[in-house]
Amino acid sequence: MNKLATILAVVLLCIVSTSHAHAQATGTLTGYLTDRETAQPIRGATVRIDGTRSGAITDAKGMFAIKGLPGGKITVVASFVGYETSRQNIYLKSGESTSMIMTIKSSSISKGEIVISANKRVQAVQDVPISVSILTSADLDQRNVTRLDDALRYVSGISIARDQVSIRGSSGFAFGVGSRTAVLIDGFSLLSGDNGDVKFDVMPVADIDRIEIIKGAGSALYGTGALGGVVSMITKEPTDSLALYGRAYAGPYTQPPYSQWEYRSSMPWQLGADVRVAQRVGTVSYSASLGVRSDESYRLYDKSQRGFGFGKVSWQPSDLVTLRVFGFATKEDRENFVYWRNLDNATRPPLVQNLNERLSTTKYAVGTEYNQILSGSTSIIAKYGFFRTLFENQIDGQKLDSNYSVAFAHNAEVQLTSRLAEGVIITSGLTGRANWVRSDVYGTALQTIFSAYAQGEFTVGRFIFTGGLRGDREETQSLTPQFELSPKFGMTWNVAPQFTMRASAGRGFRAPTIAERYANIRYGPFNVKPNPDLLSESSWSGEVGAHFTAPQAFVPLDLDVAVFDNELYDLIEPTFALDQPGVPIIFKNLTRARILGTEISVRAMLARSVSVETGFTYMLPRDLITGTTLKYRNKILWYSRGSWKPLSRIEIQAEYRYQDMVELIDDRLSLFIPDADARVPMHVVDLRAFYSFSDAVRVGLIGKNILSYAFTEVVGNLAPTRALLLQLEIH
Amino acid sequence: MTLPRFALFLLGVSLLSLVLACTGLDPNEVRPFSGLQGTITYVGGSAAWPKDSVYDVRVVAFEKKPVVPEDIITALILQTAAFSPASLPFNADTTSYSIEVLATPRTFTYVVVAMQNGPNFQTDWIMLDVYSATGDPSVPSTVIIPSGNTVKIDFRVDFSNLPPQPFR
Repeated sequence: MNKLATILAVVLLCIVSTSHAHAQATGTLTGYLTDRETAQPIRGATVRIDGTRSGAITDAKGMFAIKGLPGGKITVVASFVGYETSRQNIYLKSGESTSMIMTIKSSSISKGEIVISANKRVQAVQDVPISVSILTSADLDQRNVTRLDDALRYVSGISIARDQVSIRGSSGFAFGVGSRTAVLIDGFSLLSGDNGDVKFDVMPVADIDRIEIIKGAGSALYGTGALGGVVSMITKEPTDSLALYGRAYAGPYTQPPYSQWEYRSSMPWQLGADVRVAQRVGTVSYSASLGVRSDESYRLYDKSQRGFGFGKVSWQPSDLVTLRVFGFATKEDRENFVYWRNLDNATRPPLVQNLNERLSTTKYAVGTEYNQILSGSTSIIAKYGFFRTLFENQIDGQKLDSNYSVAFAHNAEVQLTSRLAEGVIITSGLTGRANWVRSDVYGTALQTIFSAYAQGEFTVGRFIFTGGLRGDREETQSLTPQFELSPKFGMTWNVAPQFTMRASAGRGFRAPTIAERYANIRYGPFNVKPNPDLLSESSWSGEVGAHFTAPQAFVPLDLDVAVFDNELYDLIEPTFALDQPGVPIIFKNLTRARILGTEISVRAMLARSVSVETGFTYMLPRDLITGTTLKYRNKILWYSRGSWKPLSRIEIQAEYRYQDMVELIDDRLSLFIPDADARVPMHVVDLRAFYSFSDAVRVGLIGKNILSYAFTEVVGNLAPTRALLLQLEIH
Repeated sequence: MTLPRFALFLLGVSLLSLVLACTGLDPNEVRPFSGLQGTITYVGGSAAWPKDSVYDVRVVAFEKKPVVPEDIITALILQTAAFSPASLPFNADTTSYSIEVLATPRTFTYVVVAMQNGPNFQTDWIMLDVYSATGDPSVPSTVIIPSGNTVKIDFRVDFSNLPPQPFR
């Protein structure tokens, strides 16, 4: 407790030290952003003041206005997809308005990427001392992403097993409980209060502007769950012009590659649609989207229907204050395919499965955010939100008593970001989380986590140094509270304008979930019993990397190389308790592991209309307790993509994903899953062709797993076979 | 064809060749089978089965004879027993069975047809027949499963004359 008090004192000191004397007059910067070659205005670009949270999005005329800025020298940074990031220094007089014209240069390689999640503020991706991957909304559209976990399959260093996201081998297979990746939407945690798992089906695909993936432990800023990394989704910001977007798709799964896997005579179909509307009107902006999904599935007893919605309203009563309210909800009704009957019947559930049983889930969240610029160099954000999840099994619409859980996850945070001096930025905050659960299988339980954090970034010449510390106090019911201290260190060295080196180290942890501590449920023939004595699992991640961009080279390319070491401690795993009567399954702190690896990502323009990108990750995942390979981990993750635009209106894309065969699984799964050991390397090829009728209308033919390669991502579960989809998009 | 395009072509062809050469999961793939196979005959046919107390029926081969009911699940977890992967049909006259045995050669000292006769998977088991080369179920026989070979064992279940139970 004393440690937490110390952290709190440090944070308060940071807040006090940065909130003084901000009554000085502030100025306004207005400007016009154009393409350097064509002089055409750039719409939707990000213009921000380096080292602050101040910024704006350009409107349809390329205009922007940033208010509440202090006087003095400031650096204006403009970035946009497909353009090189541009920086310009100007001098702003206190209390006055200044105008500027800014140009940016198109680039076949640079994505003009900015990142928010690495340090909880806007900055250029090359200034971040840790590996970051970014997916844009265009990436999501082109891949026909229907759930956002689908999108993560196309990121180097990431593997997905059902809803579990594994960043550089951090997670294996844990029955869907306890995510080792923190997942956020606009800074709001999306981990459920009971299982601590990720609910990808609630996320509004049409509203996502980009997804940032921070690879490596991130608990110094994000607390529990950021053991392996952070997946942060940022929603689109409305502009002055009305934005309308619609997407509809439909198509079949073709028959499986083996006749014994055909469970119906006709091809099963999947279809869905999304609509979004957004606009800024005066001081108010709004955004709303709706989506529906229906999937007959390539497997028997795996149908699902889902509807979801998202809404966000922002009010800017003054130049310095923004109030935002958002909410989302989803309802899904699905059949509950858990594992196959056997390999010969890989598309059918076990014979004992009651085919009338359904899994019904309802989830919704409401959040608010208050953002005030105290001065041009200091801003404060206060936010609160809750996320409610409910799942229950039903037969003929009637609830089954044995599998029901309702959970609330309340999250609150106050964050202060301040530029204390030229090149010195302090970010600090206080957070609170309360998970409340009422369940047939977990009982009624309350878990609270309170924390304080502070981080400093110091720019010295071409170097940026980062140091941070966070303390978390976790308490569940009457159990002894646990305290976690999570430091981080980082350094970025801008060796040359197009060459950056980085190094970082940080700690991550994950507090046990209520499900892991209190689960009392029958799973197949076995009983899962509670183990309240669980401790948090933790990690240390270290990384050294380099980034090189050569947009003007004979073959323009962008290259990123990283070498990493993830040390994992007290990993929580389900295991058989041989010392207890009936040998139940319990969750236990079991594993000490080490994952050494390297990752190389390359983007290149082979010709004016031909681009390729590839990401290769090689890992050595070791279980240091048993001296064997860590279970459920791949050694090689390889992702490649090629794009060819033979005509201005036509684009053809090919993507290839490879994962080597998982070397080790828990053999005891074969006790109740026939052919549990059936596994192969993964080879998945996707092909897509798009035709644009105009700037506003595009149609695409999309083939997923076009070779209908048969593999498993989860034990006893055949991954989706070939699917063909026709997609129509209207902007 | 320019050099970059040729490189792309080469990359594409290489990837396609690599992928096409991989077959993925194949349910028709013939794996060398080592294990137990045979037939179970139920004396009196379907009419002889208990009415409300059949929850699961399996052939189980134990390396070591269980002494208390909890030894069954412990043997499964420790993988010192092999068993038919799913329940065998209820109320049948005859049933064929097949058990794949891994890590051969292996020796089993107690091979039985077992029935779960109550809701508790961990304790509610009775033996319907015990393999004995002499025909005397009170004297179980040892079975050795060689690599790549199948041992044939037939069982005869008489619900009115069950073999000696290991737990009572």
